[in-house]
Amino acid sequence: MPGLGLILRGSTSSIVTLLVGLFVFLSIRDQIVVFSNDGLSGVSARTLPYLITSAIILLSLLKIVSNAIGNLKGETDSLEDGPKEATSYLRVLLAFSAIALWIIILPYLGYEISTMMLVASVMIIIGNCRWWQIVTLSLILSIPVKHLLANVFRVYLPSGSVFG
Amino acid sequence: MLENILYAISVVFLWQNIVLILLGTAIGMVFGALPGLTVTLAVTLVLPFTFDLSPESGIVLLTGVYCAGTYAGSISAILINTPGTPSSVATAWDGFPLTRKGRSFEALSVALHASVLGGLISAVALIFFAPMLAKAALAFGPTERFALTFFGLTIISRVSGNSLTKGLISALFGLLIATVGVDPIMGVPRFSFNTFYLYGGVGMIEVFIGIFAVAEIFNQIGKRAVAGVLSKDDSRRKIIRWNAIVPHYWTVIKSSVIGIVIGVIPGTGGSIASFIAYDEAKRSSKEPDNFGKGSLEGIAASESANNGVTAATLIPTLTLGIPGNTVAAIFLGALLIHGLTPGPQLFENQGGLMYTIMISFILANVAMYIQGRFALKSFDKIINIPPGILLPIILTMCLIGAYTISNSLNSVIVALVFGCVGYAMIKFEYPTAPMVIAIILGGMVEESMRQSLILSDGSAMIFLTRPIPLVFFILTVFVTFFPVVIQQWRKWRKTAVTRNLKSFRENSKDSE
Repeated sequence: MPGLGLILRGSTSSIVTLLVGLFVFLSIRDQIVVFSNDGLSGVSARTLPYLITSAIILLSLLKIVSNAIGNLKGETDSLEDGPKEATSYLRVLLAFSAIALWIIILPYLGYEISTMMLVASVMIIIGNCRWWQIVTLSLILSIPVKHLLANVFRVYLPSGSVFG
Repeated sequence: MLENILYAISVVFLWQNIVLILLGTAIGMVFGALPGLTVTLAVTLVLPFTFDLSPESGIVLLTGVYCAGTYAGSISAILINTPGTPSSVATAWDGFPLTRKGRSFEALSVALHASVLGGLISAVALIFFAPMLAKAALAFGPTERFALTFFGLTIISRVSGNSLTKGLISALFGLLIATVGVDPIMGVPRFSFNTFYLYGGVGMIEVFIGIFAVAEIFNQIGKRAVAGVLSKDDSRRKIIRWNAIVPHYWTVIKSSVIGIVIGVIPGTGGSIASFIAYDEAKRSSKEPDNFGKGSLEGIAASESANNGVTAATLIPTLTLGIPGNTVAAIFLGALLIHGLTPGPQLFENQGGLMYTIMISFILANVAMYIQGRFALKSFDKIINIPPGILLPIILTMCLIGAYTISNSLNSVIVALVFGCVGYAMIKFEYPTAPMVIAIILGGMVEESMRQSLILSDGSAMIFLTRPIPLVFFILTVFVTFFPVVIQQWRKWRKTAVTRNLKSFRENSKDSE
């Protein structure tokens, strides 16, 4: 008898969509308030979300079951458990963190400083960049871009509460 | 009519109006090409400058911005996989794969030619068929709109790639995202999680920036060999020629007509037109397998359709006073500011001005072509920048673009979240196209469906008892199941031929 891990192999994404679908389905009652006259067209504000999430749950289950049957028969369908090409998830995580940090510090340090930090860090994460390229690009994408947007397009980026 | 047309030509070709149209197309091109800066924003920013101009000059300037902005969405869609406008989403499906193959210049060239032709055909339709088409558009109520948008959703089955189940799950999540925000009928918030920002729903542009651009940046950063992400393309040797579009002339004409017909219907717009035209081009193509992998025909279809919408959108605006989309609403505002009330009388009282608008659409497309010819080579050089420098530039542009949509970091957070979602979709091979289509059309489908059901006291028969919706539903069934039936029939025929051949061989062996 094959183990559960083997049966569910290649179903990671379907399990995630199933769990998200279930979570949203269960949260509909809290998230959408229905008034007594809401169903005047026979369709209330909750109807479509219920239909959509039910379909997500059913399709995810279908995918898991068909994958499991395939696994039991020895037909490995999926690429899911092992990406084809070498991927550095650490780099992706670092890039994500750099953007998240940019979002956090932008209101305090302003566009120029936070963007200089973001551009420099992303270029370091990517690699193959010389120090003068990092400095030049960080400067170009921060100060001139802010002034260009403000003066030409009338789009104003934050100056930062720390610097007034 | 001829008198009005001659008057319009004399006005549009005044040197100051030519300068204004060139300026307008340049502004529109910059706004359209930069993700986050929309055509609507460009037209809104330019509007105050038209107050001091004559109504004719003001409209000429706005027309230039509108036409070029709609076209320029294709530039970022092709080069960096980030559609500048929602109607350029279908362009990215084939444009970016071509860029990766080092054929970005061809893609940009076809997009420019198809856009110009689509815009010109639309302008001609505006001149000759405006009053007639406006009457036809009046027949489109919520039921007809529902049938049309539902028909637009059928494309999902054909852009789902290898797994239809994954495509459907992706589309369902798109529909779910489209339900976020205030309910269109009852006004109750849905999935707002007590966040004021989500009352307005999840912004489409933020989602596009996340799913297409941020996800692709993560993908490229994640790959160990970051260098040489995009194939080099030597644009210096290439010349833009009209013959780039010649093989696709029938697709362009067909898609432009689709764009005009859809553009006339208020509340629809370039996105639906480009999806339906793309789908039709794929269905009738000799090489349907190339679609989504880098088909020039796909780009031609999408671009001619979304530019075909531009002038057509103004038909209900000018003749009935019903704006077809947000840009048309701003045009309507511009006319009102200049003391002109749109409606059937406008053609009688201000015939000269009406034809000035129409002729300015033709001139705007010509100006767009001239500027596009000069600008394309510069745009094309973008992909020759090393990825280590290009990726931070694109990332910064995307973050600024997301921020400028609402002048708040919430939009940037949405873009980042959808960047992660898009990256996961790339890794698990979920198609993003169905999700994007569902996000764009989901709101319209729900709203028109519920309005129709209110009209019929909850009876679904309303969708089958009216002629236009019935035609669309028959088309939906036909377009969805016909390819499956054909495929099964071919499979069956192939099996039958193989079986017959086998039995013939066996019989021949026996007789020997």
